[in-house]
Amino acid sequence: MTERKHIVDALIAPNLDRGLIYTKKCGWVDLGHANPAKGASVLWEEIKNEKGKPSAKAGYYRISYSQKMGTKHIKIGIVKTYDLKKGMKLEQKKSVALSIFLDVSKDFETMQGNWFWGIFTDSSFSAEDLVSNLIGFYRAVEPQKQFIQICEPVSKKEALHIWDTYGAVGSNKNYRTTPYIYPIGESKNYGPMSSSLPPLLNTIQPAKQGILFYEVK
Amino acid sequence: MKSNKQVMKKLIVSIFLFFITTIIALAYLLSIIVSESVSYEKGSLEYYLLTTEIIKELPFTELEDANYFYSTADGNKPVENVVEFSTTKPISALSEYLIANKFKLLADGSYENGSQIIYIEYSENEKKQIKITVLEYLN
Repeated sequence: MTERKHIVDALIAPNLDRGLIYTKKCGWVDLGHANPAKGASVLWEEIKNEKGKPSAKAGYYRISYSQKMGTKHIKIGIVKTYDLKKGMKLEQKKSVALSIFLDVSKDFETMQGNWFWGIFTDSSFSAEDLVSNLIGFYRAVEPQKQFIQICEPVSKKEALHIWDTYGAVGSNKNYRTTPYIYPIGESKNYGPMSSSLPPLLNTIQPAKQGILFYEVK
Repeated sequence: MKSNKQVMKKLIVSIFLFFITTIIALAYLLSIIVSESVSYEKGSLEYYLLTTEIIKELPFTELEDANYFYSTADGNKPVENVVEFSTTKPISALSEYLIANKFKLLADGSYENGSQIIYIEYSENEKKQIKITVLEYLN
């Protein structure tokens, strides 16, 4: 979850890895969550190149993926371990990577909103979290595509207007990877509407756990 | 001479007060650690708890009057430490400090060392306004 002062202009948004923008197609996007560096990119590189540790099961390798909050010295978060089948096709690897990424993202957001951490932060499932994470994943897997521009960011002035009219991003909870879209430059006769992401952000379908991969508990 | 009952009562009250104080301190600690927006000054409790070492050891005396900002890591989003201050010292002092601390200059003018990426923004006036942002990934 971010604050009003973090809103940045659309012109510089594609080059930033922090700040908040509003987009016509993807709603609010937190550029920190949408930044693939050292998160989604590391996961994708591990799976693409099968870099994990040996698994106890023949024909599989093991990886761990985590998401955390806190500081360098005090970290709280979710760490999950999976066994993945060796020799998957590239498209299968993308599906498996997305499934793992979303699985850990959702568990992390759930942890943030549980009875204990919910006392200290209301960041859990903030409207832009999962959508921004998904954009970050696509940026990691297909870095040649301009996903921020595909989302059509609006000017800072328009983004501030939406914030002031409809409230802070954290006030709306979103448990899915479909964005909330607000009317721009129109009379305020309807509120946020759940919408589909642009087709290019819907080309990878998360794989189901089974032969290709499964969580190690 | 106090009776055993009085001593025991005092002990229970002391333990209770210690327990309550510890709970409040822990609650405050956790609330700032997971906060997405904390502003503070040098020397404060937040400064010692939240500021990354690379900022604490910056070679600028003007840091006494600097503004500090912290935002927690949030899933795949990194921890953000920001310091803003003004100085007449050349900006090269900052580059030299980062290089000496094993940071590598990246193509876009930022610096990287392991899980940390540092961005530097500054005005070109004689008394420069410098903003240093440190992003640290926890994965």
